[in-house]
Amino acid sequence: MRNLACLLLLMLIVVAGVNAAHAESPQPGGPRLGADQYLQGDFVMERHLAGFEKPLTSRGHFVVAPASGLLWQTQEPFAGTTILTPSGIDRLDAGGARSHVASGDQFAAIARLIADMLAGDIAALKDGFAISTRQQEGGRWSAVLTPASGNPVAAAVSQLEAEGGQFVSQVKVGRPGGDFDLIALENQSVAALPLPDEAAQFLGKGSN
Amino acid sequence: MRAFLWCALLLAVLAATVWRLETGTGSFSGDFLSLVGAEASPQSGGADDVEAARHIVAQDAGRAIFLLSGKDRGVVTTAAGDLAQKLLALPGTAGVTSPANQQERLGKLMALYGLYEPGLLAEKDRQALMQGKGEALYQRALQTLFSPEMPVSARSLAADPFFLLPPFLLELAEKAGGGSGIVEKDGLFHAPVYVALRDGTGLAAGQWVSGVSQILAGLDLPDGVSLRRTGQVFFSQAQQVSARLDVQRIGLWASLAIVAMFLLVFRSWVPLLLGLLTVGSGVLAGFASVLFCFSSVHVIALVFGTSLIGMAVDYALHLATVPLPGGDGQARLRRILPGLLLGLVTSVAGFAALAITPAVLLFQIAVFSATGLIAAFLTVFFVGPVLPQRPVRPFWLAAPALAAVERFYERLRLGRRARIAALLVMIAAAALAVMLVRGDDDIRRLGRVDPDLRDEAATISNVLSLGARPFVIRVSGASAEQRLEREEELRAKLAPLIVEGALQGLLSPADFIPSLRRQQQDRALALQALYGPYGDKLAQNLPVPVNGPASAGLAFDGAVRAALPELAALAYDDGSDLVQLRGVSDVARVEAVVRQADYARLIDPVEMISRQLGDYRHKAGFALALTALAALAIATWRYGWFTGLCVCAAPCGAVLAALLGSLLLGVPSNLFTTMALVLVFGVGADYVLFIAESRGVTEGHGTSLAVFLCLLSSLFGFGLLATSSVPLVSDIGSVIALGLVAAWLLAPLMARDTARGGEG
Repeated sequence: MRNLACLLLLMLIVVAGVNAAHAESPQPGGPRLGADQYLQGDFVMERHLAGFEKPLTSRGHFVVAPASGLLWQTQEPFAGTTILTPSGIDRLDAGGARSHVASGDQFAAIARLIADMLAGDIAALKDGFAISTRQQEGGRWSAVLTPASGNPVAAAVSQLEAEGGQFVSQVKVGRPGGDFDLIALENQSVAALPLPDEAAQFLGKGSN
Repeated sequence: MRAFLWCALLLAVLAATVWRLETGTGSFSGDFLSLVGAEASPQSGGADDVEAARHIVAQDAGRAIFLLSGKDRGVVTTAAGDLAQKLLALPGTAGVTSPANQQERLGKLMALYGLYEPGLLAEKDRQALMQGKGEALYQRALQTLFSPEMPVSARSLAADPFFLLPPFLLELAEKAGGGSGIVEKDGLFHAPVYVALRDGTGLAAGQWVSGVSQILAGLDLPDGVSLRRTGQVFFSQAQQVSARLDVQRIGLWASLAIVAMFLLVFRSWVPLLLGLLTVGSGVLAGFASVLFCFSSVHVIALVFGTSLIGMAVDYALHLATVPLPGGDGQARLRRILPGLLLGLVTSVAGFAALAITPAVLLFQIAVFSATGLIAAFLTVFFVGPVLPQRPVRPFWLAAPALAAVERFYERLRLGRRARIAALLVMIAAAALAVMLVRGDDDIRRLGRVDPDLRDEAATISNVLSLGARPFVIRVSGASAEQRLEREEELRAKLAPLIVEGALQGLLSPADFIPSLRRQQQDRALALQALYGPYGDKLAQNLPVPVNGPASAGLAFDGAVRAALPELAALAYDDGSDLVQLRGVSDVARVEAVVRQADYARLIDPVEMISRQLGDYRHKAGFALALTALAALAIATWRYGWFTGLCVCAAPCGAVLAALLGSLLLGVPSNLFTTMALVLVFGVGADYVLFIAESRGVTEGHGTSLAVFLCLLSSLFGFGLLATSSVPLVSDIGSVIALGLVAAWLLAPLMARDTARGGEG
């Protein structure tokens, strides 16, 4: 499920950004998002397809908790929710009907990477990606992750580019063939668990 | 001169045999299944079913499963990934599938199926469209379009704008039993690691299992994580090791005992040398004859053939025990020649009876044994007289014991009436045997099952819902397309059983590649119920046009087979496919459904192979009966009808004693114990013929001693097998030990008291 890997990589970037925000030096792998915390914010995702000028644009809200997973709630142009947990991916349609999309074990390796990342273990990412980071003025930073040879994610993702300051502000997911997703993250905040009820009903309370 | 020529001929045969082995034009075969069912079966479809069963068992032999279990999903998964890497690097491993490397696999599937999405509908999508619920699929497509986890491209959108392929693949994974996914059960996470071996048999398998043992010994599992393994390769290797250790132990003691016996009785190496030359030449000739007839000598034929030829040491013993005063080597030979010839003809007739059965395995044993026995006889005939002649000179401790045995043996004589009574007793025993003895051909009872492996297998089977036995359905059809259509029909018939729990699941080639008819139907359905009503609406949200599905179907061709290695186990020949059943808990119901389809046959490989062994057992029993008839004819010709009948009854009585005795001991009647009875008959016939030929002449004492030494050597060689921990080996040993003692006792009782001709 390399598509799932994309989403989890996105989570990695986001969480790495949080870690960077909490660090004195904004390098991925700094002080981590605590196991008793979660991150939430808004997103705008532009899906750029080669040969077409106008991207597919969606907006919504997300919640990520290290031990529980990610809630990706699209509000425009169509309402829908994606729930990603260590045991799999589910979707809720506009009517609230839930459907199982994939088994979680197929991206367990990526989920493991998330755990490593949350633990501040940058070496876990280095095993599968070539990473270059750059420090910018005003506490801003950027990072480029290129899947290493043999990483199955490479079939779906050619490159990941992320930038931010206190939080990750933008992620570009490049795909083979020239297509890419551009995801802007806004209004982010870190809060202590438990998760709010709306998220908790899908992710649990947020703890192990 | 004749001895020299014979030895030169044997050396030439040896050279030719070595050359044939070295050049690869001849070989050993250790694959038992390669001989089972190799002959054509008269039953319609029977041969194909056996072939299918062999295919399945061979596939099983090439697979192993490891299961890591623990409370932490991530830890278990990582441990499985580490183990998978180590196993992949192990020589002999063809491939490893673990939860960690499924992404790569999925990528390959996407590449294969990418252009055919509209013709590949998941069952639940098909049902939704047939029920007019296209709206739900349209809404799902919109949501997927904006879901971050879905890597959408212009190309994939153009090919599959309604995202119909992912559900198809998800359903395929479910049909395959969850693939290699994590299983959560009883509060634990279980990560299976599936390993495909390059060769699951013979030496390669042994080396692979040794490699696995080293890996496991050096594995540093995280706290709380346990590891189990299963696979036919582990069971067979454990069994082989156990059997080899037993045979080595028994072989060592038997060899020492036989050598000690020769030295104690003759105080010379010459009789021992003659014995070795006799058996060695027999084994060489038998082996060479099979090698040149079949190009491959099966290990079972080698083992049984060598065992049967082992009786040829009796020829050497008889020559060596003839009293020396009164003649040289040639004179010795002349005195025993009639008995040797009669014994040889009887034994060869018995083995020839084995050869007329259509079973390749029995035919190989027959050729091996008959040729070998003739060669052994010729060695005694040509070489025995020219070797230095040594008298029987037992050590002082052995001398009185042997004399006592001889005296006892000489007293074992029955008058005519007593022999008639004995014949009646044997007839009654035969009737009793027919009533009581029942065949037990279950192949699973032949080996010694390691209890740890058995427990691990049970746990893995329970966790992964594998079911106890690998049932399959063989689906016949004139073309690949017809078979795929039939498999789809069969799945529909069996679907209710899955719902009701009589069957966990099934997997067929049609699950990977639907029939072209099904693909056309699905394409038409998608066009009518999805693209038609919702295509334009979806197109308003897409940067690409939504066209109806137009691609040709995905055909079941060589490219597909190459991309889907799973099909190697399922589509195994040009005339039939296999449907693998998982977790069969109600065989009768499955069988009832399968019986409704004339193109399908339910196959239980274990039962099928056991039945085949039962067929061989019957054939071996039939051959044994023919042998008895041949022996009766020879004995009647030689001794007249009554004495001939009595002489023939001696080995028959030994066989009955072995049969009923083994019944009392709980030894099953199967192909291998029946073959042991063939040996008992052959040896028993030798005993009684030697005794019958010697009665009434002055050298009778030598024969009594010879027969006793023959018994001792046979008991050392075969009887010790009864102490083996492997059921198959100990069963053979028990039957032979019982039979030989009975044959030894019956020979003097049933042989007449005069030299030849007329009534005794």
